[in-house]
Amino acid sequence: MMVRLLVALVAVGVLRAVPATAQPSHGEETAAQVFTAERLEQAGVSRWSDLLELIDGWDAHAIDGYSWSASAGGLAPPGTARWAVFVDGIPIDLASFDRISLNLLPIHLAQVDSILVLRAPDFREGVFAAAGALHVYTRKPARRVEVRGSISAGNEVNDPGPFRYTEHASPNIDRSGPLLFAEGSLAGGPAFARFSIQSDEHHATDERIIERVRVLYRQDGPPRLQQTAHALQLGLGGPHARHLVLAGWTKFNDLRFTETYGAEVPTTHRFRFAALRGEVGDDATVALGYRASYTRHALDLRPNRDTLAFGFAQEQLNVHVGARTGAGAFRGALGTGLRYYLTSTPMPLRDPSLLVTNAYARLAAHPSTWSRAALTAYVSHTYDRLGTRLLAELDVLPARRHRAWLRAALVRETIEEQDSPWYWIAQGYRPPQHAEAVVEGLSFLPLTTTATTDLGWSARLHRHVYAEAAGRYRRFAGHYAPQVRFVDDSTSAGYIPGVRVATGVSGTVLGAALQVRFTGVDRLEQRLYYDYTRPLWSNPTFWATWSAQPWHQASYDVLYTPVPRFSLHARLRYRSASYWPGFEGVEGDMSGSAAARIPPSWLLDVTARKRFWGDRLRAGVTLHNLLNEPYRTHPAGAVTDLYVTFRLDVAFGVGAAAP
Amino acid sequence: MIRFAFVLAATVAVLDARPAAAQPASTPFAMIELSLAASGDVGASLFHDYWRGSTGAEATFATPFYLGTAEAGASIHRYRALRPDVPRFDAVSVYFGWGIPVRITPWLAWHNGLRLGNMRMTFDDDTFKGVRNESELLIGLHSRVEIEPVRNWALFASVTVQQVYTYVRLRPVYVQGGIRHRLRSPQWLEAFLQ
Repeated sequence: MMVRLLVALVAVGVLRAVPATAQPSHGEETAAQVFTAERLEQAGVSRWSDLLELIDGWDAHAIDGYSWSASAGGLAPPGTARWAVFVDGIPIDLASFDRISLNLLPIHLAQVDSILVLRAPDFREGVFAAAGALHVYTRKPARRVEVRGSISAGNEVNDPGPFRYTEHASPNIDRSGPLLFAEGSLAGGPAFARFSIQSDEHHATDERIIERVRVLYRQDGPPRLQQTAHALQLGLGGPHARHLVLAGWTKFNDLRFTETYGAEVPTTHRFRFAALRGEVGDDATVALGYRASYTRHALDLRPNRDTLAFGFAQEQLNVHVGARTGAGAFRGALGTGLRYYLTSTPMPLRDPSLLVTNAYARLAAHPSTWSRAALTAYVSHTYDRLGTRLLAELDVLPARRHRAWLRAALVRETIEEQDSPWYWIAQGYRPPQHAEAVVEGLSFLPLTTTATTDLGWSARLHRHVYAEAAGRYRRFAGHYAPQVRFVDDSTSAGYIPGVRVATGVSGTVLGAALQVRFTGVDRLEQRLYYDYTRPLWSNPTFWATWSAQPWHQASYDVLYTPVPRFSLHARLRYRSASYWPGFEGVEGDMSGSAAARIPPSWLLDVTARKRFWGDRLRAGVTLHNLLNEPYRTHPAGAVTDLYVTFRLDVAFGVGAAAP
Repeated sequence: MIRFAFVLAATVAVLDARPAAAQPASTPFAMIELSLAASGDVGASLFHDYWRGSTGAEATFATPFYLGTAEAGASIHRYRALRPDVPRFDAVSVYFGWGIPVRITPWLAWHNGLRLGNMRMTFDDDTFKGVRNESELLIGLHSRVEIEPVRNWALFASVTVQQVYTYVRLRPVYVQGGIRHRLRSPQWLEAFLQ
């Protein structure tokens, strides 16, 4: 009888089912930026890291031009990896050694429906994202069998060409890519399955980097980064339940600039994760959510000229259960979770395991049509130490087409929660280190405090004009910051580092942003954004850390769609100078300037895109850095000139739905 | 006087001109134009001190694309070495372009456009391991005069000024002469391009 009842329930559930991945609506998000898949293609985004150059209010830099680091909205110091990445509501821990490389994601951009980028503290999915978040929502599979593919590649100018054989010879500049992707999906009713595979390649083309890479790299041919990835998604939905399985595996042959070594260390980074997420219940009353995930990062050394060993592997188990009510003007949520880390290294660690537990409560009130407020309290526990986080949110609609918002957060967290490499170094891990390097780690485990306030206003001033203004305040107290000082190594192309982790780092960061969107001209969308972020009232270490972030960033986007299925997109960006005190002891090599200073830069990217054959085929070509300015974002980083990329996507399906 | 006459003629031609796209036959993708040309590099730059291009060939596919004409094409040129210490090489350029055709008289048209593509160079030399081929971005300006003595068949003369973005820029100037045939797009091709 019970079996019959169960079968009947399942049958009814399948017949009345909703898809396992509902497509989100981002209409009411504040302090946020939304990218649709269409817009990403129109802007010529082919790799995940390209996305960082489109995000407003985030500062990103890269050494190799492939693995980018970013700081979101001044919420964390430059050079740290504190922001959170989610795929369909599942947090994916991509951080390793203070770097979040989005290219590690085994999901391809062709699988994306939309991306929500948050530049203020946020709480959702049981995760308190104090330092910004990036939410990826994958495309809802059509009810049929589908095959998709994508290829993209790029080429930077200034190859020697035939002059290689003459006295005018110059260094070779290699291509970027190809990035190849293939996906098969099957969907019917509320369930779907999707499997994808991708591979990518990136060449170290900058001569300074190639010379540094050669310090350790011993393989024949030009030094290259190579990546392969697989991903599996399974979904099952019902009238009162949704369940999603997400699993991925990425192998990345990296040439990783390691600060303690002062040069690129050839590593193999293996990243694996498997996650299960679900929700049971009715949105109108009570819903129970669960999530469990397993993540593994393993860094091994590739064959090298030294006897170095990277040897760092970390497994993480993340469990969360929560409940929320959805009735009336008041809504509440309660939940608890744990993160368990197990780290293995060639060196014995004082304690290779780490358990962080947490619990939270959230109360949201929607007392009237013109206001909405929420308060979240989050407590975490590690060993004998407590971390606390509070978030207050207020949204007000003071007049028709006007919105004002306030986000205030207070975050007091332990270094253990941040999964900082300096925690594991304090536990006994020794990263690859230059023979003459001096590395002073933490003498105690800090408990950091961050207070942030984001205040904003947005309005549709006219049918075709949208404006948004925001101000932000961040106060950091008791933080730690690695201070790295490089000097030239006379015996190799690398640097000799001196590393000291400063504690008691305190200071304030103020910022403001202004955005105007204008759609008054037929088939033309324009957008202007300006961001100002600067440190104030800080101690010297804090100032030195934050001077690596440009104070001014501005962008002007134009999208022109003269006809259906064809678009032209241009993005002009300005980035003011930044200063990296750690490189004061290094010889400059850009137009005689000191290496520590990155000059201001103007960048213009132009993309043309056309869809063919009823959208089955989509092709785009992008000219990056069309002004051909020598562009770099890090003193040790690659200098990039004008380069061109193309991207070609195909989609075929068998079934009723259009591709 | 000659200059004045030229300016006057050009002004009249431009004022009198109607974009070909305004004609019914210029419905997007409704027609296609196939052209074949002989091509020679007559440029004079540092590049031409080392190499001299022999006569090459170019094939182009073009179709009306809303305002103007979109085109895709390829050309091949062999460059012989003028010095003993450099190798000869083949240059294959593949490009996409867009331009505006202006019909000056029923049988005379002037087309100007922009091209963006890639030049692939294959060297007759193995001195540098793994780099026998090299590819580089090219941007070009193209101007073409067409005479259509027979309906849908035209003879043309054109000049293409290119810049190839090697570290020391290559600046070939191609002068071409050839034949162009216009025909209605097959339905499948029109559907594909739409």
